[in-house]
Amino acid sequence: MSQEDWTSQLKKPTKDTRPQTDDVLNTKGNTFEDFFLKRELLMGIFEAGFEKPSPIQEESIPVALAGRDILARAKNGTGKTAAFVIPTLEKVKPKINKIQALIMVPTRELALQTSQVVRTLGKHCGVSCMVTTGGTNLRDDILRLNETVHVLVGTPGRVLDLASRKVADLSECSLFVMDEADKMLSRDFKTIIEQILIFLPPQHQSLLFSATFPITVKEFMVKHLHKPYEINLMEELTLKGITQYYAFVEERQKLHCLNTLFSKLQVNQAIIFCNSTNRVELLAKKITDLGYSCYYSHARMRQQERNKVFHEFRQGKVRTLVCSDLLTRGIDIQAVNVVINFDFPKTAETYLHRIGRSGRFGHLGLAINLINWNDRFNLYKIEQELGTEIAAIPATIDKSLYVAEDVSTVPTPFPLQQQSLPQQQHQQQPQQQPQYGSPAQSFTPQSFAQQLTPQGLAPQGLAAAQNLSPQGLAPQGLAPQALSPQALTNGLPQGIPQGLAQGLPQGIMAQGIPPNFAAPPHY
Amino acid sequence: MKGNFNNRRRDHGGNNGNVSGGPGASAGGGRSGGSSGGGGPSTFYENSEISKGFNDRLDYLFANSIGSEAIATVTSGAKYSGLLVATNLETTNGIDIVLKYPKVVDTAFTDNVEKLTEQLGDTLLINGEDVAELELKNIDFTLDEKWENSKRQEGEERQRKEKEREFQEENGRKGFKTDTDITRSGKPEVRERELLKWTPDENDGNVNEALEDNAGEWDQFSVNEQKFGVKSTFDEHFYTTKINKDDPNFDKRFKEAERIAKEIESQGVSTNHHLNEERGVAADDSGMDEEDLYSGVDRRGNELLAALKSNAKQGLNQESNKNASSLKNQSQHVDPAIISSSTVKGDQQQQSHQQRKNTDGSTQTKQDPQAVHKSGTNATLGKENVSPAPSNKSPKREPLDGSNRKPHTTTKEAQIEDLKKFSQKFKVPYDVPEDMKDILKKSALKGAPSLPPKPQSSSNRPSVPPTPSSGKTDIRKTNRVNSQEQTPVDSPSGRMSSSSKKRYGNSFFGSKVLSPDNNRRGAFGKNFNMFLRSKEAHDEKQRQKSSESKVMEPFFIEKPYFTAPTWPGTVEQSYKTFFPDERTAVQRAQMNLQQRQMNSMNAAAAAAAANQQMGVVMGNMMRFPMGPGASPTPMMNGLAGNMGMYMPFQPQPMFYPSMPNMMSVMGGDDGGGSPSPQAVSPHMPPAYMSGAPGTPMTFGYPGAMPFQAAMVGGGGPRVGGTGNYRQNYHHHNSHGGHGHHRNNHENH
Repeated sequence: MSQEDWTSQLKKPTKDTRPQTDDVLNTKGNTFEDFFLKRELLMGIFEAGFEKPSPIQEESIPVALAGRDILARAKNGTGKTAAFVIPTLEKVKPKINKIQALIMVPTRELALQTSQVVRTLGKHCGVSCMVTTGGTNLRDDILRLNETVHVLVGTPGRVLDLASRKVADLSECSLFVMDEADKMLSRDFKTIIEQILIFLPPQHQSLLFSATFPITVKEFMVKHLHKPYEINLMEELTLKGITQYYAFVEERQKLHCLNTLFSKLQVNQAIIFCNSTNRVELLAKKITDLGYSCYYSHARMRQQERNKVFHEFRQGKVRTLVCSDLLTRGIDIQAVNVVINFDFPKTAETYLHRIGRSGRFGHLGLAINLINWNDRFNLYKIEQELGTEIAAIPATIDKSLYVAEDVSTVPTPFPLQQQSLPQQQHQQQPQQQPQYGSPAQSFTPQSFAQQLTPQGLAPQGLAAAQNLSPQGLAPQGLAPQALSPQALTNGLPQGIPQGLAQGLPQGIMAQGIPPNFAAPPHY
Repeated sequence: MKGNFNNRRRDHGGNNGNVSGGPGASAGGGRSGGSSGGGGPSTFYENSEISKGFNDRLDYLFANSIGSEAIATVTSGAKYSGLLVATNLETTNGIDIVLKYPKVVDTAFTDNVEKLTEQLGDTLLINGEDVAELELKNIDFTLDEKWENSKRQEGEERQRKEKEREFQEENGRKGFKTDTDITRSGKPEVRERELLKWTPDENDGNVNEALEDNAGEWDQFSVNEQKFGVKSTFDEHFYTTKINKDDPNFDKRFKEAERIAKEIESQGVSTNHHLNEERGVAADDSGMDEEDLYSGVDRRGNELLAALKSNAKQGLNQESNKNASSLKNQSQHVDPAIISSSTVKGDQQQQSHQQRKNTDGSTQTKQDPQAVHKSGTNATLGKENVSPAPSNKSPKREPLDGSNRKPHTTTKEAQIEDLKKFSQKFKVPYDVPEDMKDILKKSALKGAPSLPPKPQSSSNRPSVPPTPSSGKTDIRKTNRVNSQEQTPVDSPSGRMSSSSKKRYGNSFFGSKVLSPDNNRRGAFGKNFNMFLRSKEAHDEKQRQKSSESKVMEPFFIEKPYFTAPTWPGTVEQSYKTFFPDERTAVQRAQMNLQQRQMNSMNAAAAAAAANQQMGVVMGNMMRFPMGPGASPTPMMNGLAGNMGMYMPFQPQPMFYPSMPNMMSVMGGDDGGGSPSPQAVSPHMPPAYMSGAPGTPMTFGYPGAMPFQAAMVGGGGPRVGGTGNYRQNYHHHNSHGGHGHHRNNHENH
């Protein structure tokens, strides 16, 4: 295939038209082609909607490809994930049936998300990426490791257990990646990490990424990194695109205040943070009572439920998500434009990561902190640590500060549906386009109810399942056996066909979030 | 007129550097430069040295006058004023000067001021030979001050830079910045301020309820589906790989996987919350909220580390103490005499520990129970010095700063228990390196005999699992040695408290432990028989001595331990009532010591004893008899310490979460197993004692915390000794030594 051939055949998603800040635009002007990546990888990158590398990607990809250890910091949502996934995919050799890269993250949801990025970017590379975290069936994970796995994404505890039993063979795993490295090197995780490192070959390459480094990781650097290349792209800690306000309220007023915010703000999707699992559940209930769709998530829930919540919220099925700090770090949901700290966090890095859930990839976002009397010193403290002063919330907030003009281009994360449903989407998109409304309208409960009535779903859904041809899934590196329609219908519960055929194109697009995986390089 | 300048005889004094020829100058006008004028009175003779001095002064004058106003009189008599911008001191005839913005001041003979003025440009250069007189006003000669100022500025600059550099260095090489570093760079200080109250709008829909109102269980999925039609489409295969159920071996694999999964999940509670979480083990999260767990970074990281390190250091000290000294010291420690000796020796020992630590380095931290075993085992017991007098002063007497000993012990105990459990379950997941195998074997040889011979087995501890094969022989030996050692005397408390700490070789070496063969069994019996050993030692000494003199060597049979004098008072009284301060305690102890010294033996015997003791120490450490004659130098001692320290290969700690840390903490105390009776040495303030071991725990140190919890929980089978420890702890706290006794009884 010539150059033109393969580029013209790419299925690029709709371009995200929202304005971006210098946090992601201030590059040297390199392109992905400049890194001499293999074509399959480039295809995956472009089909994921990436156009140009972000600053952190520009800095780290060549260095990582050269084989050096990296310690990098860049702001929330400026493309760190892709900055290590791209070199990982470039380095993994699909023909070798061994775990060649290990990616460690602190939470299970983040593991899922990271794995999904690997699978999306690497869908033409024939790389098989597996997630292993706690809370899932351990036996299944052990069985999965019988198959080919090239990239293992997981949380440290489970990985250590698998590695120490030799279930996961890390002896050829020459690439070790840590996302949210400051957390991973915090004392509770560090002991596990250091034990995992024993199973890696001595000459492995390490890539460490995070947006915050409240403490130095020098000790770890000296001990485990070999001449690390340090990347620091931050002159300030907070994102340029996020406007922060506080609302000084009494504890009892918080709910009232929140309701006011909901009615005044043009919320596309919002994440609300509480400080205890109990309050998470209580608040989520109140929000549904107020008439807004709302999921909640925290670490004391069953993992299956957590996954469900995470997945659906990413897909834009619900408007608000109430959660604990479980989802503070790394979670990337493009459509989130408002983050509310219903309870104020204790530490600056938590604050930074929380508000970094909006304003992804240089886009605009709003962060609102409900401050009660007891929180005020914490507010000062965190302001001091971040070097920003948070202003009181004005009576009206300028929409240009956080609302996208054309929400239709805001991408949902999920690539798999799109890629397995080319024809249907292409047919449906034009029809749906005119219906795009403003997000405020589109998220009314009615539109959900209309779009997702059960009637329309079943027949097409199953048909779609049949249409899931091997082409659709093969490049994702799934085992060949898994590709027969039989296996799919067996293996996948109804949820997928439905989502693929009907639920996504209609339901989501009508809500102003297009089905395209238009994700820019925001991982 | 060059004479003016060449003569250098001018008055530079004062601030007004008037370089005028003056009458004297004109008088000497005819003199040729350099040579002292013949016409002048020879009161002033210019040799080269003097003229150089003058030249320097002149240079200094000119250097300072650059940029100042100057009035130059030229040979024509005209006077020009202007800024002196340059002078040429090198010209042969006088000094060339350059004036900037010259003005005519005095036209002298010609009245044509205009004409002269017209000729002037911006600068006026006057050749040296034309300069008749140069007048400089208000020259600042305080250059010294300027110089100092500039120096000071420079210095400040340098300091600032240094500070910055240091700062950067301490924040990682090449200045990898922490968050605060980034913030610090040029941001305005955020001040505390009045916060603006949020006021609800008038016409707001009134949501006047708190979160807790009308609370109740609810199912988010069903509610959202009912109300908003949200349905879940989640499937894990969006994210992870598929299980290949069509594989022909699937059933087999399935079973195997299930087995491994069970194995992993049944590992029990770990010390690490995240591990527990991932294993699905519900464990105490110690009040950590989800911010602590998933988002926040513990700022105390560094301090914590430092604290742990210092703790570990203490631990090391104690560890080495252990190696050198042993139960002997410990039991005696109850004696004020020993206390004094230890306080006296404190510094010295600190140093020696330091050295040892340096040499041992990291290996020390990897210390494992094996080392612990080596310390404080029967070898020392058997060799207890009958007459401890001189040995108290020998450098080998390593008194313990027992202050934090007890608490350590308890923690460690629990840890060891845990380790034991862990090691029994744990299989080494990788092959033991070849070179390690040798060591393993050797250390097994050496280590084996040392393992059991504590009085432990006599204590009934149901929690200790019966140990298979090799373990049994151990036990047998233990009993034998034990019986030998058991003296009718009410044994010092320490020994008893040690009884709960039972360990078996196989628990540390897994299946790779070599069962002791007959040879070793023989050696074992011999080496730990105090009579045989004493005789051997004596013979050795005799042989040595015989070459030099024919003096008869006294034969010492050492009691396995020393029965320490107990407190004269009753239990209720603290030692503090007897020794209001440390000094008195020391003094009294010294008195006691001297008395005993005199009573017990003559000098020669004392020396011999010292030697012997030395040998004992080493033997103890090295796990085999070195003979008392073996050069008992401090050097050797240190070496022995090292050897005692090197551990059999122990892979477990690496995989066991936070094990290395635990080890370091453990290293802190005498190594749990060893009978540390005076965990609290009476002369240490109890506050310190309780503080030190608490440190890692209050920090929520992953290794320590659960243990503590377990201990406090008291008495699961896992921490069988819990009750004892707590009692011990308590007693130590309240009334030092006596608690031991009570404990003993209880243990019996």
